Amino acid sequence: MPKPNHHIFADGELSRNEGTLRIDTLEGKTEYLPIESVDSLYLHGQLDFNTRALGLLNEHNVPLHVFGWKDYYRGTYLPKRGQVSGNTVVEQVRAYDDPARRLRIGQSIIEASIHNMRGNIRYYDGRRGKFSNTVTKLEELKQSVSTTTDINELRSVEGNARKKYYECFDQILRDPFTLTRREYNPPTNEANAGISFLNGMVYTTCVSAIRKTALDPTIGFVHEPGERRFTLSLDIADIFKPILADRLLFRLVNRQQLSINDFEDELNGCLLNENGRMIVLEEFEEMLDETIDHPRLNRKVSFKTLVQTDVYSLKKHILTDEPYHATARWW
Amino acid sequence: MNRTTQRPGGGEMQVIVVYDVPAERTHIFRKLLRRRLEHLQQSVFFGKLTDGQVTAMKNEIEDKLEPNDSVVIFESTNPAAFNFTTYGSSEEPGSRFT
Repeated sequence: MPKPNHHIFADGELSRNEGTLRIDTLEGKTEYLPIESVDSLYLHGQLDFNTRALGLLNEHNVPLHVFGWKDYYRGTYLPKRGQVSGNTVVEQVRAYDDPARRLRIGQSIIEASIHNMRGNIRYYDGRRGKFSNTVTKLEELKQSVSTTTDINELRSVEGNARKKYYECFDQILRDPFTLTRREYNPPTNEANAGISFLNGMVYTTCVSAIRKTALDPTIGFVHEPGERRFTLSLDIADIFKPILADRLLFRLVNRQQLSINDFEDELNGCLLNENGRMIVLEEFEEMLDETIDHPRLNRKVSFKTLVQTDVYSLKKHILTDEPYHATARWW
Repeated sequence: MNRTTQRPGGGEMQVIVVYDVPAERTHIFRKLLRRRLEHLQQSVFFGKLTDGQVTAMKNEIEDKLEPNDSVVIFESTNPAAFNFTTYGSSEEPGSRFT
């Protein structure tokens, strides 16, 4: 099982002490984090830290994901590359630059993504409403992925699937949660806020996983490599959002673990409050540790490892042309 | 005396480490253990480690050891066989949130 993440909600100071991380909270508590047993660090509070603390994270290859005001994702401090391989980057760029190869990888990603969306909808068909039309539609869209001839066409298929998919959310989510439209920047209601927050967590999970390989996170295949974004993480996150984010949100809302009171809306936006974030993160972390039987690897793997194996598989495909197994749920 | 019980298989294990060393030497082990484990009480550490981490830790402890030092490491590879109860002001070990 991979190492656990650690989340810091407290305000205070992060420093290096006796070869490990020390957290001094404003409330006067001091904690020491076992640096060798942490996978990624998430800062949700207001923390001061210096280069010595960053140096320590660097030495132990711990990425630092920073969340700002009201837990908007602010960015990631990535440790110096542990894995370097010019060969991999060259091949990755070649794969991106060759329209046929790029399309093939993109198709695998979108196929898996639609497959996973369909899995969620099929689960709730008959439980929370009648979704058989959507299930069929998603199946058709998944079939049509292989006939797309360029990346724009592929993206429009993905867009259509996502639209159909989100249309079901309103019925799946127990009242008073509503999702008439997926809106972000900022999210406009509770359901949107929950999706946004969880999508952010899936994204950072992918950033951490990609960092463990020599792949360049800025060169994606479905998303256009733009500025200031890790497009490869966005690609991989698309596969895992239905599995890790949406399914969790449905469960939290429908089992009433998360209520409308766990959100706050100010300044024409809506976000999780401190209590809500804790509930969501505890469940999210627990889910990352959950294991399932992996038929190809012939052993049990956790969801966190699943993200990692997906990235490894992509890397292997890029380097050796072995088939890329984008994670499509089989369980 | 230095005794280790062999266990089957590899992977991950729960580890408890306790030490009893002269006051002026506690910082040596504290520093060594804090890097990998949660500092539960004065000289008690707990956490989940991999095989490799445990081996590295044991080697490091051996290197630092002096005649009157005493360190005991408890290991369990079976998480189902491991339980704990906390009383008083102890915090739940293994929390991922601060």
